[in-house]
Parts: sequence; C-alpha cells; structure tokens
Amino acid sequence: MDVSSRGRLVSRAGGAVGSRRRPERLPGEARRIGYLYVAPAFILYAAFNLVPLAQGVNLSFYNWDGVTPGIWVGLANYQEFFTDPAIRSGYVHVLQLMVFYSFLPIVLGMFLAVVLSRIRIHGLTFFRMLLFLPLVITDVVTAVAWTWVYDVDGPLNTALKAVGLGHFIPSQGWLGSFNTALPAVGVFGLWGQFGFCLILFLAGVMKIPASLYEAARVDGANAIREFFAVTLPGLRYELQVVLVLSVIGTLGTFDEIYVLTYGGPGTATTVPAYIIWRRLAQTGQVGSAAALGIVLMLIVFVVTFAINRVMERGAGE
Amino acid sequence: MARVVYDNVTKRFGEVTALRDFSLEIEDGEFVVLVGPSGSGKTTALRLIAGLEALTAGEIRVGERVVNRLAPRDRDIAMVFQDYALYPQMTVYQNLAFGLKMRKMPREEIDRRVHHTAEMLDIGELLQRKPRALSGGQRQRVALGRALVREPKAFLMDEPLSNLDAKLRVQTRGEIKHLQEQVGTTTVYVTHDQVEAMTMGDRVAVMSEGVLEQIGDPRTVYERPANVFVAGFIGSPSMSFSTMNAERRNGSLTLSREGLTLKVDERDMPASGVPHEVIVGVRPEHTVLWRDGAGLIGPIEGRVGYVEMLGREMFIGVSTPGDLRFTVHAAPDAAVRTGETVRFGLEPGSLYLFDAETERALTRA
Amino acid sequence: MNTASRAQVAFNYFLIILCSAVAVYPLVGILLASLYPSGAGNAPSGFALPPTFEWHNYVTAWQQGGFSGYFRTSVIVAAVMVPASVLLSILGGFAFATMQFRGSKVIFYLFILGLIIPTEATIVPLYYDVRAMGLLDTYWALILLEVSGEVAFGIFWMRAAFMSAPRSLLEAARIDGASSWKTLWRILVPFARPAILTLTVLTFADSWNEFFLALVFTVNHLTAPAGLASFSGRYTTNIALVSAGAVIVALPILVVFIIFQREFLRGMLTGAVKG
Repeated sequence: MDVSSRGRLVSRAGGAVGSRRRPERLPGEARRIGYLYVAPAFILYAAFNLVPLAQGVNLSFYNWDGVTPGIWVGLANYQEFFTDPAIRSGYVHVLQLMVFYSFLPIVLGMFLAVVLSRIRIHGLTFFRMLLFLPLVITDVVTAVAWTWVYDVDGPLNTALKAVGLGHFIPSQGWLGSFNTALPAVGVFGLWGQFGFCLILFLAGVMKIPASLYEAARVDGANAIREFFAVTLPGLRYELQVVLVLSVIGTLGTFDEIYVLTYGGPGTATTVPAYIIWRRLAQTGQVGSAAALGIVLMLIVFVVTFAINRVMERGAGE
Repeated sequence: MARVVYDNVTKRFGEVTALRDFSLEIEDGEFVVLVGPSGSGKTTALRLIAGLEALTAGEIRVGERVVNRLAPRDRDIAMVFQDYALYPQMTVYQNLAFGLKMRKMPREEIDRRVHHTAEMLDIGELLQRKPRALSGGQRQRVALGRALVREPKAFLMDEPLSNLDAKLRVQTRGEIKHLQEQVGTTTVYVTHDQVEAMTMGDRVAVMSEGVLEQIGDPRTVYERPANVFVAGFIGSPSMSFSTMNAERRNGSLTLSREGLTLKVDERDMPASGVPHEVIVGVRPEHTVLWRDGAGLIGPIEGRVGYVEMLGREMFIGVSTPGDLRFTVHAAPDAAVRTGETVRFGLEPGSLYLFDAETERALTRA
Repeated sequence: MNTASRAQVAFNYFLIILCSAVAVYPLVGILLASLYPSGAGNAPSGFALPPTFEWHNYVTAWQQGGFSGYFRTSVIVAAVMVPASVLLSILGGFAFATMQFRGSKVIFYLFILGLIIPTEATIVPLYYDVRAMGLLDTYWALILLEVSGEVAFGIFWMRAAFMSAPRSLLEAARIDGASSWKTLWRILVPFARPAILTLTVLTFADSWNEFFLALVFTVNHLTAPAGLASFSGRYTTNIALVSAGAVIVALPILVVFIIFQREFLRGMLTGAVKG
C-alpha cells in the first residue's frame, strides 16, 4: 500500500475547492505575474499528464503492437470490455479484493476504534508508528515479506501445523493455488490497510464531543444504539475519505500482484493495472492497454463522484 | 505637505456599496478618527487610502498626489493593523527593519531609525525577541513602531486597540495620541468605539452605511449632532429619543404624545418651520429626577425598568405609560428601585429636535 | 466510560499491542530471516531466532544483488525530484493562494483533475513519448514523471497552507514594499515551514516507494523497489538473501519515517481528515 498522494486528496477533489473572497484587481499589482509562478509546474504537468491523456485516448482507437504501424479499429478496444473474459475477470478480482482492502479494514478499524477509545492509551504515539508501518514501507518490501509468510516452510504453515491444522495447507502453496491466491493477496491488503483505518477512526472518535454520548445515554440508548446514533454519524467524514481512498487504491493495485503472484496462478489474480502493464510491455496490445487505462480512469471518476455524492447527501446539512 | 483627501470616493463590492460619494479633507498633521458601527464603511475607507482595495469612483490624494493607481508601497503610507500582523518568524528588530530594507535603505540608516523608534516606544529590550514571546501590549507597540520607523506621509490605523484589555486600552490611547503629536504625522484612525474617537481625534468623522454623517471636532459632534444617528451614536449612555407631535401655538411650541405634553423652551426653538412630527432627543445628563422650582420641563412620570449603578453616578432606565423611553441621570445614593414610579424632568435648553422623516437636526434659532 | 475497570484497561492494551504486533510481525520476520544462513531451502519458520547471525548476507545482497546500483538510482532520482517538486509546488501554491489572474480557476481545476487521473491512464502513451524523447532507461524519465505526478498534490497542499496565513500579514508586507517574490520567501515560506516539511517527507516517500514507473521505464537503471522485485525473482528460493535485500530497501524510508513521524501522520491524517 503506497502512500499515494493522489489517493489522499481524491476524496476532497470531488467536494468543494474551498475559496475565500477573491480580491479584484488591486492597484499597482502586476497582473501577469501569477502566470509566471504557475508556469513551471503547469508546463511539466501538462506535458506529462494532460497531453499523454489525450494521446492515450487517441491510441485507444488503434490496434498496435508498438512496432509496426497501428490499425484503426474505432471502439473495438472498448468493446473488449464486454467480450474479453480476461478483462472482466480483472475487474471481478478487484471487486473481490475490495472486501479485503476496503470493507474489512473499515469495519474492523471502526469497531476497534470504538472499543479502544474508551480508555486513554499511553504511548499512543508509539503504537501509531507501528500501525502505520505497513502503509509507509515500500509495497514491494512488504510484499516480499509476505511471500516469506506464505512460504512452504514459512510462519503461517508452521503455525498451522503446530495446532494440527496442517491439512488445510494447499498443495501448491497459498499463492500458487487457484482458490487461495486471491484471498491470500486480500489478506495482505487487509494487513496493510487496517492500521491506517484504526488510527484514522480513533482520531475521529476522539473528536466526537462527549456531550453527544451523554445525551444519548440520558435518552436511554444502549451501546449499539449509541454507535449508530452518535459514533457512526460522527465518523461520516472519515468514512467518506477512507472509502474513496481504499476503493480507488484497490482499483489501481499493482505492486503486490507483481511481486506475490504475477497475476497467477494462471489468471487467478489479475487486476486491471496488471493487465494494462502486460499488454503494454509484453503482449504488444498497446491500443487495448491504452483503452483499458482510459476506462479505469472513467471508473475512478464515477466511483469518486458516486461515493462523495452518497456520503454528502447522507449528511443532509 | 501631507494632506489626505477623499474626493467623491465610491467603493462597490459587487452588488454592495460600501462607500458612497465619500468626501473628506484631512489636513497635514491632523488626527482624524473615522468612527461608526460595523458595516459603516470606515475600514473600507481606510483601506482605500492604503491601496489594499481599489476604488470604484472618485479620487484619493495623499500629499497632493493622486494615488488611485499606485501600489501601496508607492503611496508613502504606513498602516497599523488590528491584529498587528507582525511577521512571526522575524525578531522585533527585523520586523521594524523590514519595510526599510525593502526600500533599499542603507544599513546604518535602518539601524539608526529602528533604535530611535524602539526608544520612543520603550521596546528597546525586546528587539531580539520574536512576536510569540511578546505580550499583547508589546506586540501592539511593535506594530506601531513598524509604522513609525517608515516616517511616512500618513499613518493609517485600523482599530489598533480593540485587542487590548480595557485598562491597557485607556493607557495606550493616550500614548498613541502623545506620539502622534510628537511626530506630527497626518493620521487616519478607524474605530467603532466612540469614546476612543472623542478622546483622540482632532476631528471626528461619524459614518454609517457607507455615508459620512458628520465631520467636526469632538465638541461640535457632541453638542451639535447633524442627525439622529450621530446624536445617538456619540455619547454614552446614548441620547433618549421620543417621537412626538409638534404644534405651534401662539408663538410657542408644544410637543405631545400619548398623554405627555412638553412645552419647549425658547432656547430650544428651531429657527425655521417645524414639521408636524419631530423626534425629540435629550441626553441622560440633562434628564434628572424631579425637583420643584428648578425650572425643569415636565414633570414626566414613568416606571423604572432598570438601574445602572456606576459608583460615581447612576443611570435609570424609565418608560412612560405611552411607552416613551428615557435614561435619567441621578446621584449614586438615589433611592430608586426597579418597578417603582419616578418623576423626572428635562433641563431647558438641552432638547434636540429632529425632523421625524428625514432625521436631520432642526437648527436652533 | 470514566470509571474503567482494571480488566477493561488491560484488555484495551492487550488489543492494541496485538494489533501493533500483527502490523509489525512480517517486517520483523524478514529482518530475522535475513540473518539466517543464505541458500535455498533454508526457510526460517518465523518463530525461532536464527542459529547464527549472518550479517554478511547484506554485503552479498549489496554487491552481488546489485543494490548499490539500485540505491544510486533511487537516491539520484529522489535528490533531484523532491526539491524540484516541492519548489514548483511552493511557487504554484503561492500564486493560487495570493494572486488573481485570468483563468486561474481553470488552471487550478486542471491540477485538481490530476489528483484523480490514475497513472494507468497515461502510462501507455507516456512510454512511447519517453522513448521518442530518447529518455528511456534514464534518471530523467523517472524524475520528470514523478515530479509532474506530484505537483498536483503539492500545489493543492501548499495553496491550503499559504491560505491559512492571515490576510493582514500579506497586506502588511505589501505596504512595507515587499515584492511577491520577497513576500513568498521572507514571510510565507517561514510561516508555512511545517507544511513544507510534511510535503517534502511525503514526496520523498512517494519517490522512494515508486515501483510501477520504474518497472515500465527502466531496465538497467532500476530503482530500489524495482531492483528488489528483480532480485527476488532471481533468488526466489534463497529467502535469507532476498530478505536481506528487502531490509536494505526498507531502511531509508523506515529511518525517515521514524524521524519524521509527526509529519507523516499529519500529512496522511490531515489530508484525509481535516476539511
């Protein structure tokens, strides 16, 4: 799980851009100078982000192997989205991964945050540091660590054998068996995201004023009611952020797939980003890869927008 | 020559007109206070001189030079902000020196000026400290110092005292005025506090909703308010107002309302025609508990709504049966309690009459 | 809630210790694994200390595995990319925060767009663009791409930081006669030092951890993560050696994280939490 700067603000990008009262033209102010300050960043950004985006759209209409001249095929690459099982399975896989990367960490994180918030914890800074490590350390490194965890003679199998559950170990290894490969990647994701969710929700719960809980208790609410009436609404903003971050992040999963499974066994753990890479770098399906990239972007847009919309409407303020 | 002149200045923010046809001439070395409630346009007027806003129409001149299009740095003015706006990462010395450095002044000159100003304001020992290590009063002085050290054509002060506690405020008030007299720089001072305005200003400009209501020295503004707004704004506790019907009979003027009838003294008679409805104003210090034979106008009877004991004096809020309100001034030992009925009178020669429709003062004979 | 029993307190500490332990376990695991004797078929079980502490695994990984080269790439790229990215973000953020110029809103929205555009959407055409520029497999490819990827966030971040400065501070500077350049560097940058530090730390982390770009654009000049992936692929069965490589790659970012914890947390939580 990388410290994706992009993901961090995607959740806010959908919302307000926050403006303060803009002054009109002020006396004696050099009007053009703003452009000068923005130019370096913008030129670089346009050259390597905006222009390629347009190029990508263009490329997506071609069949190209990267060497010989490309052939115009119109929307054929996009139609593959409906016809090519490989592409579909990639998206099915990320959907499944979202259970581990998004749903479970959120639920667990929220639950534990509520439990832990009741007592003041000393040395929270230290625990925070530990809990953040999975997210901060390079993905490739943590993925390598988990190849060891899943290794034939690694700790997971050793522990299972020790408690007599050795017969559960799949013959091809956790990452090599069709049934367990994807969940194995999922558990890696859960491990990575969980700490962040816990800390985020813990901070969020601390911010909820105690008076709200007291009011609820006076109204006769039990613990469960309290959660739904006070805690959950109070965590609305954090929830929105984590949802967007984790969902978008999962859509772009790549590093760990490359290290843990290479998309295998077979195509059991392919994901869209991996498919794009393979088609660009290995199978010479450049136009298709470009199209897939564009589609992924559109999906990210839609999802961000949808999540923000739903969450903000729920707020009803 | 450093006069500051507003010439028919108008300022609009989109739909809102903050300043309307504002004209004012401030003489060289004068200390003029712009006073009024929030939204009166006083701060806008100040910022227009500074060049922090651009005006919509009119001209502003600083020392005979039209500054409309000039950047703040070229207008030769200095400003003291309400929140002081000290540069947090610089020492006091650097804060004071900054403006001079930007103008490429030689280092010895900067040093001389900074030390001279620090001495004037008694902040010499603070020169190496950073703003966060200073008290509110000290920060305020540094803010003043930053303006002084520039030796500009005009000082602009935007409510510099409002972040100080009451006692410090009174003390600093005097210091600022004293400083200004020493240095002799034209000063435009903005405040919402009419006490500040009256005690500090050579002249006071009372503003309301973007319009200049009256300009004059403190005494004039107090004793001869131009309209109801100025009369009610200046002076504390404020003037009591009552809307009454006026009737001229046999050369004398009678005011009546809801069973209350007052005969207007010669001294208060307006020179020209009297409209049918007038607003009568009288200051608390001229509204006293009834004494027979004292020549007061009245008696007026009313119910005590509240009593304000100030130690040296007492103010009583009274309402008549006709629901006219008055603030009565009394000695601190007056035996008056809330809910009681009192009788009071108005000193002759102390009434202010205003046209009920235009709210302008009716000039005395 | 105020009067918690001893058992509750103990349980809470138990919980958080458990969670932290789980979070850290795989990392501690490979640290220990790296000290096992190198060679195939020596998979550490994860519950026992190594029989001997084979520190020279690290030397082997560094030299034979080529990590010295990988590190050089990562360090060079980060050393250029981080200052460049932060500088451009400061300049751009400053303009958006304090200046009014025609089309500024449009340009700003374009940058915001960049926050949502995933790398996958532009990676394909970028590959051929970079190749056409003759920059394939060079440091510049990574530097330019990473900077252009970071400035969108950086500008957003710095703009917010500069906008939190009181308006009167800027006005005082204008009256004092400071030019925009001086105002930026003498007043706003010192004011926003914490935000700039946080941005620098986050940008460094993003650069160091970048894998996808390195994989696509470099072959001989791999960055540390890409190098590790390759190394891991070459020595799959030699867990100890691969672990050593992993620890080597993890070390710089770990050290940076420990030193700048506060900035990391602030950057990741404020960016997420605060409105």
